[in-house]
Amino acid sequence: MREQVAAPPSEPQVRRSFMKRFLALVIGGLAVLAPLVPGGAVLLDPILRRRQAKGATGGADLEGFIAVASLSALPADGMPRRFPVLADRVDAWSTQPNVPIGAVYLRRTGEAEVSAINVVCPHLGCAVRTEADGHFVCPCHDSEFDPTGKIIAVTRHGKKTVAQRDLDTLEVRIVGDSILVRFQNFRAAIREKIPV
Amino acid sequence: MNDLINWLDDRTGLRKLVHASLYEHIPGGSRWRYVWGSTLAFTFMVQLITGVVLWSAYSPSAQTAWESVYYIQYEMTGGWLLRGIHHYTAQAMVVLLLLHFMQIVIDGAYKAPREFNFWTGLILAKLILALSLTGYLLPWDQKGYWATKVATNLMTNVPFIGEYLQRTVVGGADYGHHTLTRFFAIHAGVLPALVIFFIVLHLYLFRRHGIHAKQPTRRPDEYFWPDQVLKDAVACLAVLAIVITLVILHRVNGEVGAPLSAPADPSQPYDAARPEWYFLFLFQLLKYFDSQFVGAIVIPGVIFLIIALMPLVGRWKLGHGFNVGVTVALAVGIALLTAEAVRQDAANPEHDRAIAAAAQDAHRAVVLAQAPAGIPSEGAVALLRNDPLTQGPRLFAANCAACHGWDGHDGTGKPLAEAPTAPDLAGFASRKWLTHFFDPAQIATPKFFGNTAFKDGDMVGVIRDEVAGYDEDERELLRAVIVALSAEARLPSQRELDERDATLISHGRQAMDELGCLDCHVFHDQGKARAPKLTDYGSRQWLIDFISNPAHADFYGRNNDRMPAFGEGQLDERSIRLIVDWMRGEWYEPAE
Repeated sequence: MREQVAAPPSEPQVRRSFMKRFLALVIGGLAVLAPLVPGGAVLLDPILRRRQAKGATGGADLEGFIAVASLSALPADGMPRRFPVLADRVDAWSTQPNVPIGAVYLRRTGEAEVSAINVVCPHLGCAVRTEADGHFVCPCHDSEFDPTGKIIAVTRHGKKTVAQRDLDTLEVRIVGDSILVRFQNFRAAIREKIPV
Repeated sequence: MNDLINWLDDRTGLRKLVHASLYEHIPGGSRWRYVWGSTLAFTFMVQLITGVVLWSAYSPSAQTAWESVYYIQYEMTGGWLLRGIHHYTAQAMVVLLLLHFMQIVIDGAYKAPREFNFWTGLILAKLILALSLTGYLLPWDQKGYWATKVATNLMTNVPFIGEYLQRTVVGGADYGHHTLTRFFAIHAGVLPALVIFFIVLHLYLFRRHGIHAKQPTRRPDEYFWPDQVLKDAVACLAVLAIVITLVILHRVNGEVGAPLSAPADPSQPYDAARPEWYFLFLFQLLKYFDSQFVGAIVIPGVIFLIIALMPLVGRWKLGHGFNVGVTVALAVGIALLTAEAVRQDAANPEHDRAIAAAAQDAHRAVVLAQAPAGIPSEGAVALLRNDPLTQGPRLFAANCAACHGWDGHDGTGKPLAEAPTAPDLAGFASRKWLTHFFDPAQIATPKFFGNTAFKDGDMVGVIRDEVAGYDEDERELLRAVIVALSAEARLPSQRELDERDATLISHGRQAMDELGCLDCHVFHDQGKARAPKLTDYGSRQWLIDFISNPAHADFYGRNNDRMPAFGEGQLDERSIRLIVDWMRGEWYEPAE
């Protein structure tokens, strides 16, 4: 016997059982929401996890100083020069020994004195470059800084510098002939200099 | 609130949609036997949610797949639970598919006009199995790698296009980056899209024909909401509870959550390779046929055809009975084949050993990945390849165990194939090993020189004739010599002992001449080179040099028995180093 496609069933009894509706919603809701809990935990892992102990400072000494260049290699003309910063990088699961984790501008300010500036523009994180006169210019939004990293209020193109703070200076230590820099990155787009 | 709903309803027809989905007629009222379809839809949703999040942390390439899965499993917050739910829900889906299928067949819900319901259901079942198969490879661990290789090699048995089909799926002639990128695209893109399409079709057809009520109906009709929804919700929650219980309680190698074996290594065969348990019956079926074409393609194909024809067969008077019979026969057959596969493995000590070795590698890979050195850029497979604890026993078994024993076995725990013809090397150069060596009762046994050319040599002679007759003072001297000689090895296991016994060691060094050692052996620029030098005896370099060429003048010279010079072509430097480091117990151990 063939069944009918649209056999009209008898009109169901509509039982207004609050308990059943409530339980159906709660239990169904629980089941549907449950997988979202570990899902959310994994998605929010970058916020929830304890900070990576090693981060990008592996290869540095205990206080975080990393040898960047030798003093004798840095001319005493007061002009900033760019050097890569090498350290062990832990990127999620992989560990890469001695790879570039950033770059700094070093400038000799005395016989055994050097100042270091992070190349990252404090405005929105582009890398600044140097002009022939030793000024720093950000290629993204034209912010301009003098060779010590101070903001130049009005740029060479007559525009206002948009960066809110000077370029980020870094702590320097001279040991023998080598220049050690305490390399850090700082939060962009704010007036304060806060390490990330 | 009501205004907002009215506004929405005007523009979307929301009320009608909700009403249509909740107020579905259920002739004879809600029943527990109708829950299976809903649990399948629910588990698929769970897989979508967990799968997309896993996707956000997974990296499909031969150097990063295992590594990223390891990271999810062992480092990310809640990662083990997420992955565990995805893993066990996949298995639950297979069970639920079977239950859904049996309910449909037994209740006759596949018959006209529901043929297309049934056929779309069959397609969905195949797609779910394909999801399982492709997902199995993605962690790029030994288990998934070798089991999936079998599956893709079987593809070559497909007539005419087999070879091309396999190449296309694998992404080349051999497994590599593109195997993973392709499997991932299939697993996370193509198959889910197809499943969603067919679920929509399946549900549309289901709603078109209404539920097929189990006859006779005993209770008044009801709507889907709330009675059936409640039953469905309870069933879904129960499935989830079982899955989470499995994640937490079902330990594989003592690890919580979904298992992760060692990183895939094409150079390291995996004897424990088996498909997931729900494919075991196919695996077992293959064993009974000489031709894979018959076992893997013809027979499953014919069975699938018989199932697909059920709605047509069901038109005849005896058809339904036949279909139920086929279903029961298949269920029994699958159960028997699975049980037989499990029984054969259980009765096979080789398989037990393979499982144990696999568990050891899996555990070791995680230990090394968590070590301070971390996972190198070339991937975690390098961790095990360069690990003395992992490679040492294998290299020893393959190269040394033909003559030497290791505590009576071949290094890996397997009994020796033949009686040893050279000294047993477990604990070589340790105080204990040397003490036994100088024991007149042991030196000429097979444990030391018993089966070698040195059996009647000078050393054995000295130990048997002189040492056996030592008085108490001389025995005291010998003990000091043993301690001093053993200290030359600088064994990690004796580091503290050697530091503690510094005076005894310097005493023993001087006693060497007194006991006549230097008549034949060189020790720190003293003595005669007629037998192996004792300077740095048993140290890393001494062992590397010895194994590289035991007939070197520093060692046995022309008196060398049968030991080959392994450094001259038989083994590369790296392998010799791995053997030596393993023999000396030098490998990474995590700090407690």
